[in-house]
Amino acid sequence: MLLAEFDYAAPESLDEALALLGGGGNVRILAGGQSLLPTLKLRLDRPDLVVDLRKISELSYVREENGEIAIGTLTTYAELLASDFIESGVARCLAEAAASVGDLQVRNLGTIGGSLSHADPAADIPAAALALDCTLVARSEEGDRTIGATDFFHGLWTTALLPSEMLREVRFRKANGGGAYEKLRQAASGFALVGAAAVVEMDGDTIAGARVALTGVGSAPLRLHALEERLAGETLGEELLRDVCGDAGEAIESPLSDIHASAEYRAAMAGVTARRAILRAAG
Amino acid sequence: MMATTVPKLIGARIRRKEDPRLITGSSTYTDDLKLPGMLSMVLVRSPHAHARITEVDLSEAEGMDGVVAIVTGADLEGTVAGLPVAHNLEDLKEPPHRPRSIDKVRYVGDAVAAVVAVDPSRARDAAERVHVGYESLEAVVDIEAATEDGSPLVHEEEGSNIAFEFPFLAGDVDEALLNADVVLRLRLMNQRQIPVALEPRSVIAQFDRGFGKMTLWSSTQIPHLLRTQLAIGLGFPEHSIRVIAPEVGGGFGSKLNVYAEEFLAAHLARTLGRPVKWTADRSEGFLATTHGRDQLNDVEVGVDGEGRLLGMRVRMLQDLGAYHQLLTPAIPTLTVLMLPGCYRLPNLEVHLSGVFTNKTPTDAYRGAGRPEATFLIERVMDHIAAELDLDPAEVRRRNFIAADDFPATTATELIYDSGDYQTALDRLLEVADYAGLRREQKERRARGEVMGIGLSTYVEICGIGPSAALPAGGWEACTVEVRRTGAVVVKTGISPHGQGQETTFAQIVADRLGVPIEAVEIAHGDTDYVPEGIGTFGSRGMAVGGAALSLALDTIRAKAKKFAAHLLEAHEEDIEYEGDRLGIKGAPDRFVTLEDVIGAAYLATDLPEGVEPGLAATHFFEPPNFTFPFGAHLCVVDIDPETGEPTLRRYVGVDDCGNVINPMIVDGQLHGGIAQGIAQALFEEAVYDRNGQLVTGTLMDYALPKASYLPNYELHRTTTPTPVNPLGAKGIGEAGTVGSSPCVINAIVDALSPYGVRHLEMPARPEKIWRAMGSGASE
Ligand SMILES: Cc1cc2nc3c(=O)[nH]c(=O)nc-3n(C[C@H](O)[C@H](O)[C@H](O)COP(=O)(O)OP(=O)(O)OC[C@H]3O[C@@H](n4cnc5c(N)ncnc54)[C@H](O)[C@@H]3O)c2cc1C
Repeated sequence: MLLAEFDYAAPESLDEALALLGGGGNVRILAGGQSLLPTLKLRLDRPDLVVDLRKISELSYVREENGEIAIGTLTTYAELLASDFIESGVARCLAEAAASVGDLQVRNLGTIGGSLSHADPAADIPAAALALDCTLVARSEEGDRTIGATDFFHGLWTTALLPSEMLREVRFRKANGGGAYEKLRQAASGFALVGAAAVVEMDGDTIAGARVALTGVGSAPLRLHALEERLAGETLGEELLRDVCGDAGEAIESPLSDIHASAEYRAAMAGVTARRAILRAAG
Repeated sequence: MMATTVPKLIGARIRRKEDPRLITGSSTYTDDLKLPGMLSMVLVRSPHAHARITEVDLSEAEGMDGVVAIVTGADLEGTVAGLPVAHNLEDLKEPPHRPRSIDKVRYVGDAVAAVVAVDPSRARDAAERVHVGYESLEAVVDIEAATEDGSPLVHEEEGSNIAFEFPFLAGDVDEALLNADVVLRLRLMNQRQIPVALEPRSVIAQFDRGFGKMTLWSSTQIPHLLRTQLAIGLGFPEHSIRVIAPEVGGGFGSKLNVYAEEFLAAHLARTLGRPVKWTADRSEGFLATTHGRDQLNDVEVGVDGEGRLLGMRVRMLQDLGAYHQLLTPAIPTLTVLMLPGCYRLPNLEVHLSGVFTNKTPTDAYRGAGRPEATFLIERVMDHIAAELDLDPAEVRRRNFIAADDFPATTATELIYDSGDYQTALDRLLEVADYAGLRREQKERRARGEVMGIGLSTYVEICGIGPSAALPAGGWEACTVEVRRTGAVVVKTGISPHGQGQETTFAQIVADRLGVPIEAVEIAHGDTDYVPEGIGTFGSRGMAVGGAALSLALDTIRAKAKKFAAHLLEAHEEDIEYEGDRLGIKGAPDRFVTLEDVIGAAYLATDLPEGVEPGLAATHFFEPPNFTFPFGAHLCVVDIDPETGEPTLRRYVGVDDCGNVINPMIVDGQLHGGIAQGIAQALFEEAVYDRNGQLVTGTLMDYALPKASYLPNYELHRTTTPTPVNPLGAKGIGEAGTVGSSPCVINAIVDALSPYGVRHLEMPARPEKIWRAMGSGASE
């Protein structure tokens, strides 16, 4: 409960914040604080400086731009869920993922950008970001840099972001099709024991294209490219999905095993949740 | 005489008087208190489960900003005694339990030094800089391994990890098993749990040098017992110790103890001359507050061809953890006593061993020994049903102690006060539509769905208890003072911390004295204000504390009648006391009110012959027996065949706690109790690794259920009053927990019975269920 000492800054502009980030030292961004504060309380992280972004109101929005939905990094789960842009279509997977996060208090404070930057291996938003093939916009004093979702997650709590960068925005294309997120909860934390996000575009009974991603199963969320390829062009059916998703677990390099579930169970549940998500996304 | 002016409150759904202040956050818990000059204490705790302390280097920490003092175990030797254990066991090994370790640490969290600084952050910073040298030793983690020859020893000087043996024999079990048509064997692990009270433990000690007076605020369930133990442990005269339990945010047995931090804070406040506060954070509480359960049972049970119990043999191992806390060894003895459950069990043999391991000490946790007993016997009932292909309700019916057998003496020599188990079960089967559920189950199974129905019928031991059965008294005390303005102050020795006695006691007072409930104040939790008491635990608040209140009210009523008789110039025996009126029988317009009586009692200008002024009384109630509430629970579970996830679709209870003072509060106690039992069945487990590290060290890994994980409860009641106390009330604090774990596991095993499953260990996590259905590689 008792934090170690650190300096604290709450800049009112993006440039000020970026200057602080670029200034070197062990600097941490504070967004919703829902992951950072527990880490600080347990003294697992001891930054020299904490830069609180919450006074920079321009970082909080959900809007449509050039056929894309753009989400500001500081947008909370609750704000996202209140937006019309994610109610239907492919974005459903993001809405369902956000709705499954924690409890109301956490959804009122935690941010989309915070979840992606924190890159907890069992977080829900990263799976949706992969299934939506999001573009992540990083910002430093040098300007913007865009990173594809598949290149963003590097492993346990590590991303492509550089120490001098912050995540500024997340974007995805407003494509045809549907989306869904399926989650088995780890009973203690409420995070995903296994989570599967799917985006599916149908052409009649035929699967025109699908993107499927898992979270909770390994050190980082992952796209199931091989599975997606096997689905493309096939007629949607229970048997096909059982067959294809039955192997979903094989894509996980070293499935997580802990007191909450074995690797074998996680791998099997990857198949079950993927199948259920695809079916609903298609439906 | 006119009808009473006060509506009857006993039995009414009165909203809790304590809730507004709790809900609006306007209550004061120990950690909310800030005293002038107060210092903060933080403890240096062992990261090792078992290690020898080779050095404690304070030099860096002592020089840090804001640090006032650091004490190690060696500094306390001779000044502060070891922590107490209360028990009635013969030959109990009692290795010293020092408030700070000197030579060895024996569990992760065992404390080595206490750092006192001007604020908590600085104390914590300095605690990190206390350098303790450890020589790591092999940890004793597995309870069976701990009993084997050659196991490392938690306390070397004792020569063995077995702290006590408790053999029990009634009848002839060998013979019974020999004559049995069927002998069943099962092994049941009652997993370790971590009590999670919303408020972590907290203590403040303040020493007044002028008066030589020690005041200790503590988040405790037992202020009076703590006062006595502080006197003994610190060598204080008991009259100069005041213990205050301010608002206490739950305990579940984990605050029914005397803890190192209480001794330490008191000692440091005395030596430093400034108030000292310590408050656990959640993770520290997980290590340094007692755990519950952790009992392994090997059961052999013989039945006849009809499923009737003939005899049972139980080999019981209780994991005590590294030390005795206040009631550590006593808890499993309660399991032994309650093994017969609701059933006729003529022959019983138990061999209980209490075993030290390198883990946090275990002690009382809601139910304290009884959930273990009920889990055991209720699993046995379902095993018998499965083995003989009988309905589980029928097996119970065949074994129940009959309604006309009460008071009933069990094989364990308890005398069950009153009961009617069959009626409770019948009522349950009816309100739940058991027959309909079984039909539905058949249909669902035919469709490939996995549905289970679980039953449990429980009896538990409450109203603890007769003093002869306890090491430190089992009575309760109560003072009632009727003040000059008509306000009534009740000073009760129980120390409620969520149970609602500020409301239920006030209901009783309002009815019995004819005062509005708003005029009644229930005071508790301050040993200077409430002179004597035992505390709140063992579902004793109403059954024992309420009974003491009832006696005091009897005395007040009798004295009030004396005054009324005097004022009315009538005979005392002719006075009737209804509502707030004391009148002459058969003469409706000749009465005085309580107000008149109070006036006469306190003005005292015209006292009745031989009557003292004032209107107050103190009573101690000594219960002649325990009380034995009982009930029948049923739940319906649906299991996702692909994931193994169980969903509790229905939870139905018929509970009998004797007379009910406030049905809403009884329901609330049941809700909480059932939730905790479901939690043990499905979610909670304290996991240690091979090295004795607590793996479930935070709420991210220790699965406390959330409201959304739990079903709605459908609660019904039967009412069988107890003859043991004047209220006829039995106690309901733990019943829900006692009845629910086996009910849920029985439902899950029932659901899985088509897969040939006979048992599943708690907690029944989805993966376990998934494997039980034949998925995955067998392990
Ligand atoms: C009780 C509880 C339950 C939870 N349950 C779930 C759950 O079910 N599923 C789930 O997915 N999550 C869950 N979470 C975590 C929650 O989703 C967090 O909000 C999220 O992980 C972090 O977002 P935040 O805005 O709070 O970030 P913070 O905690 O403020 O920051 C987290 C990390 O990200 C960094 N960071 C934040 N913003 C940026 C940025 N713009 N650029 C670069 N770095 C940045 C911070 O420096 C920090 O290292 C839970 C949390 C709690 C407390």
